[in-house]
Amino acid sequence: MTKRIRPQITRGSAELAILALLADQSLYGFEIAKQIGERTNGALTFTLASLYPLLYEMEKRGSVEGHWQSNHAGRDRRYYRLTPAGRKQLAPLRREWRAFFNALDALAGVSHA
Amino acid sequence: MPDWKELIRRRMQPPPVAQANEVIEELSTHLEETYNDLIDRGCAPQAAFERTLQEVDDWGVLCRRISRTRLRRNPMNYRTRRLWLLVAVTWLGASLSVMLLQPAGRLYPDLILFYLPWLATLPLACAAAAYLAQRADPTNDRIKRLWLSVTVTWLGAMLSLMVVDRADHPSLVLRRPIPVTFSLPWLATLILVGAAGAYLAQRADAPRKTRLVVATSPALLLGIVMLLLLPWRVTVDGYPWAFTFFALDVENCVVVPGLALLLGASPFLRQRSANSSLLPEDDANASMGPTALLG
Repeated sequence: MTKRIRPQITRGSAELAILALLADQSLYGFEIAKQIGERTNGALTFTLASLYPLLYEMEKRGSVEGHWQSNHAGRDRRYYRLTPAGRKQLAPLRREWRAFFNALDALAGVSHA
Repeated sequence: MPDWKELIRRRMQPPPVAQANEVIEELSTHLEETYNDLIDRGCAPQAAFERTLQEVDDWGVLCRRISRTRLRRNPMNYRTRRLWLLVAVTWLGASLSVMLLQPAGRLYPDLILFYLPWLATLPLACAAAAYLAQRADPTNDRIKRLWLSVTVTWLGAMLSLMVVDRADHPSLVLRRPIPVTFSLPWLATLILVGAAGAYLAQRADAPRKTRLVVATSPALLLGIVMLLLLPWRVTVDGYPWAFTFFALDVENCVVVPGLALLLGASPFLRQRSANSSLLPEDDANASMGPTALLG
């Protein structure tokens, strides 16, 4: 079973995870949390309390934008999509994280741990 | 099925200050989907309910965090606010200085083309500044500081200009290759304007490039306006005079004033911005670079 990553790292990587996920498609809050949990085998998890303040913060900064949309059953959900500004943030952010993990790997051999 | 909306309404007290219904609607949908998902995976209703409630440890904290983001929500992004607000202010300041320096009752005929673009853009600049000030977040201390600084700077600048206007204008005359006269008080004022623009941009934590653009924006914008007016000048003055006059005006109104603005801005261009990204300082915690983890 995958061990839970420490909360600080979860927090630091949360925005990257959301940006990366929304780069492919528009998703609503529950789906975002669910997909992140599934794709990382539970290493990254979002609760309602951790997800929405971050989403609203990202929305305020202009990285994502939310819009209400009804599904086929007539249920209203607030979908989030990446803005052009958010899309622009994603590539440098990926590079920054890659460099960080490479550096950490060189130092502590984390990829073989 | 639990009434999730009612549950959130009871627990989020006081409710988020802005768009409370929208937030409650969205959060209740999330809780409902979490609950249904647990039921679908074979959880008993009571256990599913209890596990769903674990999505939030402290409703008070959640409410405060959401309120904070909603209260400070701004449809204008930070870059727009920082760059264009400052550009508009600096442009407006330079326009005012030109008008105030003009001796009462006299208009330099050879500078008519210079004054016209300034005057034409003035209402636009005023409208832009007013619009941006209105859109700017009223709770943002940085913007408050900025407007206070602008007011103080411009009160001082206008007072000094009124004094300058009553005296004869000392001029700097260059005779070669073509005689050109520069109004020294105007250039001196532009040094102050450039310094004020760059200083304010620095206070708004703008990166060096933005400070440079803000400080020299009057000259840059004037250059663009002149370029746009060039076809009209060709029809009025004819070729090749239109290009000669254009080159002269660019020198008088763009290059030299630009250098004056740059001179004023230079002390504020040396220092590296503490926050070189486009994100505001108070968003640094939410920034997701790996360095955020190490702080």
